[in-house]
This record gives sequence, C-alpha cells and structure tokens, in this order.
Amino acid sequence: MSVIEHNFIYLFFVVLLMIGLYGAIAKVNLVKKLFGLTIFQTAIILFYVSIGQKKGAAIPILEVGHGHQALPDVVAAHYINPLPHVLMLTAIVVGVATVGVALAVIQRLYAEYGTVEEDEILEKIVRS
Amino acid sequence: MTEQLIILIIVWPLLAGVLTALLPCRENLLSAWGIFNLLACNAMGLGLVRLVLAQGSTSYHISGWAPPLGIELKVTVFSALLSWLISAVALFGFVGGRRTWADQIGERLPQFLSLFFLLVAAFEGLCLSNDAFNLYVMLEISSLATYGLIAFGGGRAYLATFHYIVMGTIGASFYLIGVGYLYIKTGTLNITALAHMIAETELTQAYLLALCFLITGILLKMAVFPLHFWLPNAYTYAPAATSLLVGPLSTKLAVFLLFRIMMDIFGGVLPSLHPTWSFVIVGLASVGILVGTSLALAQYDLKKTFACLIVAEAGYMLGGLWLTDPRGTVGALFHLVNDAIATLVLFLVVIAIQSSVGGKKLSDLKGLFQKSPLTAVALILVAFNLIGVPPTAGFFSKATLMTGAIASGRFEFVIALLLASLGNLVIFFRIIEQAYFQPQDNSEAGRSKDGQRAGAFALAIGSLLVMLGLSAYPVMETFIRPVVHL
Amino acid sequence: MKKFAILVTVLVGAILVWGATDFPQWGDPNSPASTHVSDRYITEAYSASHVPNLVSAILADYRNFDTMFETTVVFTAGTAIFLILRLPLGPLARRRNSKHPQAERHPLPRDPILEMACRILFPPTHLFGLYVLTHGHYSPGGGFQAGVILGASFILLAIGFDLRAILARFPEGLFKPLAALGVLLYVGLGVLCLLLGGNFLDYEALRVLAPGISSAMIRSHGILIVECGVTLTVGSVIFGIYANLVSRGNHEGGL
Repeated sequence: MSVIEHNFIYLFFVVLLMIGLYGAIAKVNLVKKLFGLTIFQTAIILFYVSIGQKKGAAIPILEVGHGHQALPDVVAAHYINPLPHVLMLTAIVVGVATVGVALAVIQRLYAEYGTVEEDEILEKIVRS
Repeated sequence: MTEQLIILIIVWPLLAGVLTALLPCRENLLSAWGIFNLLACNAMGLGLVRLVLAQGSTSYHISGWAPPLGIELKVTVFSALLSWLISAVALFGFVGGRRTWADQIGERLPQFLSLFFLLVAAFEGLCLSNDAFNLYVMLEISSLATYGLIAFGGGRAYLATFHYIVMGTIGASFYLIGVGYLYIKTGTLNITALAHMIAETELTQAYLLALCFLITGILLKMAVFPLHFWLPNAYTYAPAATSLLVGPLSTKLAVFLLFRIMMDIFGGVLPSLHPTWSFVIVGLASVGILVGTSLALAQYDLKKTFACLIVAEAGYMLGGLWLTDPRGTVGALFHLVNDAIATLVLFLVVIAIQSSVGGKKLSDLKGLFQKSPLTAVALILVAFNLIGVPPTAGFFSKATLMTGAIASGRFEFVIALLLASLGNLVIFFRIIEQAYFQPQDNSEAGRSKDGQRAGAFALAIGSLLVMLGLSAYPVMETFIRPVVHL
Repeated sequence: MKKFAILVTVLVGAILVWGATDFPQWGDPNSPASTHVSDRYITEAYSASHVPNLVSAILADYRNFDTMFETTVVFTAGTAIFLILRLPLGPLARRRNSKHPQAERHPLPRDPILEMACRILFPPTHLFGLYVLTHGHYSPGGGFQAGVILGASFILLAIGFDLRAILARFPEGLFKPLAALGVLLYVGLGVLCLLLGGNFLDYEALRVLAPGISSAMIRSHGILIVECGVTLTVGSVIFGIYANLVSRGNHEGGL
C-alpha cells in the first residue's frame, strides 16, 4: 500500500494518537487520563511537523551574518516548510496551558475527596 | 476609521481583561469599569452592523499582510449581528450577575472578571476570524477561560470541569486534525482560499475525513448527543455569574463555527454530500433533541433542567443546518440568536428565583408568584419561547425549521421538534404549577424586593424575545438569508 | 468502559489511516503544503524583515495575531490556575478549606552542595534565556523559548532552595503584574500601529516614529519588541504556575 511505502511516518502518528485516546477514555485514574490527553496532543504536533518535511532540505534559518546584506536567491526547496513549526509552537503552548489547568483541578479534587480515582470520587458524590 | 471596528471589537475586551487583573477588589469600581467596557463593545458591535449593512461583507488584513500570507478577519451581515449579540449578552449577563458576586466570588473578583472579558474577546474573535488555525486558537482561549470560570464554583464543579477539560481538549484536537488534513492537501489555512481549492478538486478520502473530524470536534464542543455528557454538570455547578455568559454563548458559537465550515469551506460541494450525510446527521440530531428533553424532564434542580434543555437546543440547530432545504439553515441560524437570548433569560430567572424564595429545587418554588410576580411572568415568557408560542421568537424559529424539514422530507426531525415542544410544555407546567398554584407554606407573606428587582431585569431581557419574534422575517431576510448560499 | 474505549480508538485509527492513503509523498518538495504559501514565506521573509530565522519571522510578523492570542492563552492559564488554587481568605474559603490537609511545616534539610550548584547555575541559565530572546532572529529561539528558560531558572532556584525564599525575592505582587505587562506590551504595540494610521500590528506604521529607517529594519525591531512582551509573560506565568501548583495554592512550602 502506498501508505506503508512512502508515508509510514503517518502510521506512527496514528498509533501514538490511538494510545493517547485510549488513555484519555479508558483510564480511571485522573492523572493517567491527563497523560493520555498529553500523548494525544503530542501525536498531533508530530503530525503537523512531519507535514513540513522536504527531502534533503535544511532547517528554515537562512545563513546570513549580522551585516543585514541582501541575500542571493533563496531556493525554497532547500529549506523545510516553516509554517507547521509556527503553528505547532502555538499548539504546544496551548497544550501546556491545558495541562496546567487540569493539574490544578486535580489538586483541588484530591483536597476535596482524598482520591484521584474517578470511580471512588463518583461513589463519594453519590453517598453524600 | 470605521473598518478598524473589526479589530477593535476583539482587542478592546482583550485589553480590558488584562487590565482587570491589575485592579483592586472593589465591587463598585469593577462594576463601573465592566459596564463601561461592555457598553463600548456594544457600541462597536452596532457600528459594525451599520458598516456591513452599508458596505457589504468586509475583510481586514491584520499586520498589513494580505491573505494567504497574513491572517484575515472577515465580517458578513450575520457575523456582525452575532458579534453585537455577544457583547449584548455579555453586558446583560454582567449586570444580572452582580448580585451574586459578594456571595459566590468574594475576593477573587478582579481575576474572575479578567477571565470574563478574555472570554468575550475570544468569542468575538471566533466570530470574525477567517483563518482556520486562528479559529483553533480562539476556541482554545475560550475553553481555557471557561475552565477557570467553571472550576471556581468549587465542590462538584471540580469533577465537572475535569470532564469538560478532557472532552473539550479531545474536541479541539479533532478540529486540529481536520485542519491538518486540509492543510496537507491544499497548503493554505485561509478559509476563502480553502473554499476555492476544495470547489476545484474532487473530494478524495482526505477531504471527507477532514470534514468528518472537523464536525466531530465541533460536536464535542456543542454538546450534542452522544457527546453531551460534560454539559449538564459543568453548567449546573458553575457560579451563577459564569453561567450567564458561558451558557448562552459557548455552544451557540460552536454551532456558528460548524455553519462556517459547512458553508464557507465546503459550501461548493455540499449538495453532493447531502443525501447520505444529511440522513445520518439529521437522524442523530433528532435523537439528541429527544434525549435532551428527557434528561431535562428527569431533573429536580432548576439549573440542571435548563442545562439539559441546552443539549436539546443544540440538536435543533445541528439538524437544521444539515437539512437539504435552505430554510433549515435559516431556521437554525435564527434559532441561534433566539436561543442565546432565551438561555440568558433562563439563567437570569434562576438567579431571580434564588433571590425570591432562596432555593432552586423544584420543591422550593412554592409561592413564587406571590413573592415575586415579575419573576414568574419572566419564567412564563421564556417558557412560551421554548415551547414555541407566537409571538415569541421561538415560534418563528421552530416554524422555519419545520418548513425546511418537511420540504427536505425529514419527518423524523419534525416529530422530534413537536415532541420537544410537548416535553418543554410538561417541564414548564410542572414549574409553573409549583410557583403559582401551590400556596407558600411559610409565614413570610408579601413581596421580596430583591427578587422583584431581579425578576424585573429578567423580564426586560425577556421582552427582547418578543421583539425578536415580531421582527422575525425582516431579521431573517436582512441578516441570515444573504449568508446562506444553498 | 475499556472495551468501548478500544472500539472507539481502533475505529478512529482505522479512519485516520484510510484518510491518509491519498496524502502526497512524505518529503516531496512539490506537495501542496510546501508550494502554495510557504514558498513565498521562504523567499520573501528575509527581504521583508531582515530576520534570517524564518520561523520567528512568520511567528512575529506575518502571523503575529496568532502569537498575540498565544500569549493571551498563557496569561489566561496563569489567571485560571490562580483562581482555582489560591483560595480566598473569606468565609467561603474557610468552608472549602475545612477538608484541606494542613500544610506540613517540616523544616527542609539544607544541602550546601545543592544550594551552591543552583547558585552557580542560575546566572548562566538566566543569561542564556536572554540570549535566546535577543538572538532569536538569527538562531533557533524566540520569545516563548526564552520565557520558558527564564521561568525554569527561577524554578531551579525554588527547587534547590526553599519556595518561600524565592517568593520573598520574586513575590506574587511582582510576577502577576509582569505577566500582564507582557501582554499589554504586545497589544499596546498593535494599538500604537493603529493610532499611527496603519492596520493593527502593521509595523510599517511605526516608521513615522523613527524617520529614515527602512521598512525591513522597522519590522525587525517590531519583531524584537513583540518577542520581549512574550518573554515577560511566559517567564512570569511559568514560575507562577509552578509556585501555585507545588504549594497547592498556599505558597507555604513546596518540593
């Protein structure tokens, strides 16, 4: 299949995504759910970054000194696509922010119920 | 100068939000500051509506770079109306929620209001942006601010927020996967450019999958069955001041995002998708309406009842958007405007009830009509709107949705709408029966001044529903019909 | 629940692989993603702004609206965590705090080797953070990376010493306004461009402030100012999030 031949990198991203999604849905421990969510987001970041790859190209930083001289012609095929990297900087920051807020909520949950297992918390809620 | 309004309506609440975090915790100062900023946003929203009615759709190039190099903001008649609606709901929600600040928020008021204004800025950005990735960033800011605002409720709000975080992040990530698939096939993120490219090529698997993931991500944010589990708890246990802003707007803006993806990106190919996709999605929406209404029927806490009704309303809009007849889309968008105001009135009524009789369970409502007749009238008014009694706007939105459904041949949707009206009738009759017919059993006879004032405010906003209903057809013709290109 | 999760996961994975079957070949320089817009970024960005690091050029010039909201995301997260964890001291808090375990005030053993190591590491880390900010035009770096390194330098001190000692020097009353200042700097620059007649965040409009400067150089300076704003916010918020998370909101003790 063409996917396995040329685009096997996308299979890695799909497997990682599946692991993260399974963790986020199936795990009962809230911290493990959060880990699953983080793996899920990381898989998407890897997907985007792999879009920008070009065979034999260099990183998107032009080699020029500090003299602000005009560059000779820049050939686009010699540098990888910088746009997915820019987008993923944003996505990484958003991911970190979400993890921070989720950890704060988990801390409050632990202070309130004494456990971070979802089934025990639900039991305590039903009992009270 | 007037075209700068497009960016100002996003930047002003953003600046207000950041500055609010630095202010001291003085209730009067923060109240005046908030009203000033929200009045400015309302003025800008009205100016934007006037601008678009005069000039037609306008676009704005941020940082001076034209798309597809830079990010573009685009305003159409409906998005101008929606951006004004956002600022109006924010203003009324702010004013209506002030009585709960001392009780529920206390010392953290500056930071709470900071998140409030940042949420308004994110909603405005969601409404006006024309870049697919920028929409993701706006979606995430609105989500993060909402997590903070809801978790502040304490107690059961923590678990509800955690579930919301998991489902909201999965939803936003699905949206991002969809954008990624579109990017890898087209190479651009600008919505207008994407529409051109999709209209010109044939729809291969990657495009269909992108649409599928975009829709699923937004369905998670919209809380449509079967992805609705986070919403009732999150909106019930949130502080009252939060649900006044988040309840009316959060799911409705997700609906608007769905509309933009369908019409603005995939608009050219929508007719070819329609038979199968319409069948599946309208069926799902019909089931969702019934599930939402049944959930609402089973609740004894007023706030939770209304939160479950939001799930049902999301079903109306999802089904309406995916009907093959354009009247379905027109009805869905009109219902968006109607439902935003109705949800605001619902939550204002809950606050008024709490001020009048002190509780918000069904059993606490005895004697509400004696204690605060204005609250009871507001309740009846919004009940008429949800059931669909003329001349409230609810009648016109349901009528348009049903006409569209009959024309498309989707009779299950018509039946679901009728059953939902019946369900709403039962729910509100139960509430009104407790409020009016049961005599109050404590010796505190007479009016509650606090409750009357809150009820008067709720009634004033509720009258907007009647005004919207009386001007339903002009509104639909001027603001909604032009953006529906079916 | 586990069976349902496996079913959903396998379904999602299968659909994703099916959708990927008509992707262009990986690494192909003529694929749509690498030709339509990104070509123009690579060929035009240097002449437009004299910034060789193309990622910084796009981040802070072409797509600076996104970056502004990214900075806002960081600020929002810091505020939300503050709201959730730092309980107020009024009657509402006493009701909530009743289930909160008492902060154990055991004195931390002081380790002179650890403290000396942190003391030696802190200035170079801090300096490296500032270097990454200012040299972000020419090498990998930029505002976010610099902000994280600066925040990490404070966290290093907080781990090596006591959180309270660092909070005495870098108190909440300082890092909260600094975070707001960073976002205000960014948005303020955009509003300044508006007031000077251009579009929002259009650095061209700033040329009236420095007559004789070329269009590319004003963009380069605009990018630097914007990155400074980002660094201020990210650095303060990263340390603020750490301080709140590790002390469970009461800033009393930590790791």
